[in-house]
Amino acid sequence: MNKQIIKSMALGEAYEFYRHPSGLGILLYPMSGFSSVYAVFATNYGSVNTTFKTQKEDDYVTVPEGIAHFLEHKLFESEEGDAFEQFSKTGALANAFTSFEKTSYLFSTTDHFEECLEILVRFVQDPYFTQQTVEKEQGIIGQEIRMYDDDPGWRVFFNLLCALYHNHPVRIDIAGTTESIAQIDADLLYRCHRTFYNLNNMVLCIAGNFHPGQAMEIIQRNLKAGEKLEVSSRMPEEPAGIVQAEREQELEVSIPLFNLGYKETPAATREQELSIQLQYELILCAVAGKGSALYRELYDEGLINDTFGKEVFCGQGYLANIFSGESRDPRQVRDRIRGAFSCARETGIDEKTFERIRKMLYGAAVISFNDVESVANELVTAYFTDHSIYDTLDVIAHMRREDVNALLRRSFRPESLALSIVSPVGA
Amino acid sequence: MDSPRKMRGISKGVSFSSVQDPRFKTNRISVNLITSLNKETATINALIPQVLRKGFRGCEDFTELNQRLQALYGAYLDADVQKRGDHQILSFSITVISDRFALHGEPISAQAAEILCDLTLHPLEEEGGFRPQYVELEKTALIDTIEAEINDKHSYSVNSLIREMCGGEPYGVPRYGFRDRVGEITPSAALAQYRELLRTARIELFFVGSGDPEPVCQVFEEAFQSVERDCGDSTFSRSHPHPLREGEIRRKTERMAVTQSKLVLGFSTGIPADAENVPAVRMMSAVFGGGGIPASKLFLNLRERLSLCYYCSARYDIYKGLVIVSCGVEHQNAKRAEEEILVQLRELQEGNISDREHQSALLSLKNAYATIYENDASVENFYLGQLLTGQDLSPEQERKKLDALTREELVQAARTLRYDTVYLLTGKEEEAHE
Repeated sequence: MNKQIIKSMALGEAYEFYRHPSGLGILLYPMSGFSSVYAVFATNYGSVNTTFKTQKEDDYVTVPEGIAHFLEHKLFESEEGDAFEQFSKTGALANAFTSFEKTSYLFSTTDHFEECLEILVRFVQDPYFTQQTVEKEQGIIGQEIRMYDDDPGWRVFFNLLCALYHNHPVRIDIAGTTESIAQIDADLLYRCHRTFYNLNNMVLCIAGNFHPGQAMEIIQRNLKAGEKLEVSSRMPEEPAGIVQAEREQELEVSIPLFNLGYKETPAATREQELSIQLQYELILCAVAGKGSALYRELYDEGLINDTFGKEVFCGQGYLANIFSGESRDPRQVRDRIRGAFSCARETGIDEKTFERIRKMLYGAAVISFNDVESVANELVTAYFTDHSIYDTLDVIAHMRREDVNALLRRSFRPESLALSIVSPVGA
Repeated sequence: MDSPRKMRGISKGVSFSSVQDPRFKTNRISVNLITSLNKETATINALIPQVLRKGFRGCEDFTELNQRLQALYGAYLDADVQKRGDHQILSFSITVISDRFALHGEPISAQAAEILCDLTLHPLEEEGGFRPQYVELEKTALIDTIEAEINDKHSYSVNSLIREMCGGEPYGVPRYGFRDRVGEITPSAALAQYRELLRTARIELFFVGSGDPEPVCQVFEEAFQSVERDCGDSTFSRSHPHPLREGEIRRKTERMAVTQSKLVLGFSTGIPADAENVPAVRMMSAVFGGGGIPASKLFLNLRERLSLCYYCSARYDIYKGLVIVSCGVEHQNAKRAEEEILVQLRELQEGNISDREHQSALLSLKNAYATIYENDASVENFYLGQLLTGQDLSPEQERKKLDALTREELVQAARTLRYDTVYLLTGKEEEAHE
């Protein structure tokens, strides 16, 4: 099996990367001094992969919205019993989550690593669905969907995505809707599992207190290598422009919540994604961070409070720079942010600010190596975006101000800006 | 690992605890002023950390302070109030990367310690008060914070239950105080209150990280020499358990435009935080509905067997001796969920605890204790809990106590639970749940 050691001079740490013949990536990051170990078995499959095929099929199939998340819930069941149940005999913390682009199954344990790793590797490869268990889950997930319906932070975010994206499935709620999940049946779940849970589309990452040799032995013993499948997901054509400049919903909240987003051109390749994401992060901190004139102005005028935040939201085929928070006057916040970015596009970011924010990004990157959970999850993300986990440090070290300013100049166009507001009922 | 925490007194009622551990790539320093929660001071206390966070003598400008933090490799400075049992805690913390990662050999932690020390001990003063502009801004922000409680329906419902159940006790006072008490706060009253806290509150400083705690300790030790203190260990009183109540169960229903109901049940045990049977209550509560324990009775029955809920869990509040069960449920199923929660409690009280339920709760709690040292904030959180409950145990010692528990002790612990209050947040059109 192909093995590589990947090292970081800056951190004085290293990890092992194996490519299993099945195509599975295995990343092992022992961390001395820690008492726990955190393992994630993930597939490159999330809520956006609703239309897909493998190299063996001629036609694309479209499945109901929310099925990746539904599958995540159901995978814990097998003919021999529930994987949660097996984990609970070890005291390990076990969980799973589905995001836009990936589904991750994980455990964290201090004393029962071998047992837990065996459970994890096995249950994720071993689907078991019946009509009865599918129906039971429709009730549980129905309650999860209802919980999010009442969550203003969630609603304001998805309303923004609907205002930004015409067709890209990122606009669809990860859990789907009560109607879409009603169309899910055992056959569809098996098909999705067969397609996306083939090992060639997956990665297994472990960080913390464990012996790599022992881990490899357990992994190899439990892998069921099938046929290597190449999966392709089809994303609908997405126009460059936004859908609507404003979207509003009423919910039981005290003061309005807002999400404000600039729709940007996504990175052309996965390699470029990290560098572009970090450059945007630098821009957001420089122009709208706590040390900026804009932040000060908005705060001093009582237009934003401590909940104000910003993020670069990106993945395959989508990229948006998003600002969020609570405000008595979200439209005023939008106007000010738009004004500040129009101005920043003219002037660019000065050297002093650039260096200050660069140091800040470097600090945040170092902190991400502080605990086993964060390292394991970062390994997954890095793998699926074709990077090493240490690339972030390198990209930050080699970032150039002229590139950042060029990106700033060609982004943050006023016509690409959409505002989503959740306002109090009857206000 | 037996208590790697080192602790020493640096002034009257002020102690400095440190856990030095090379595995961390950061250093975290915090200052915690512990005071009793009460109606009169809760609101003004909640305002103070936010005002102090704006600047201090030598760094008067908010933007300048934030730029200094950014240049310090993105030092993370947090100022907030916590509520734990009958106490309100003003907490200030700063987290920075270790000096060994500095690109130009700068002493990052020493600078971070100075910022935190200046922020807490050398506030900006104008005409005998805090800077009026900052006070006014933060008053508006505090009103937002208090009102925004409603945005998260889960925590709003749990807090509503506590207000209903513990209304007459300090614990019934909300973490951020009251909206109608914000207006009366003046810059001079806020400064006077802060001086009073600096003089009388119990103060706990923590250092958790890979660096040397000694220089940090010295910075604070010197600074505290000029702070007049009037606080002894004897003046610190612990939280009192919620009194056991006879009579009808209190019921409160609130209606809003929500699609899912939130149901919260409050049980009291009357057991103080330092009682012998606290570990038994802790574990019983985990068997009942411990968060993240899929073998718990609530998860297995309310979710897996009946598909009534996505989440349904029990939380033990050691300070007040409460067990609080909460879940999200369809409006029309609220009554059924309540009945089923009570059925599961009765099962516990009648001794129906399987080996599997017992073992998985035990292992899960032990796993949680074993991971406390994996994270700087959780180390601090654990020891702050020890101090507030008047104990001095390590996670390992707490862990050992669980091993000795018998099933009979769990059953006895379950029998201490008294159903006290139920709160329901439900939709507007539905029939009342009575």
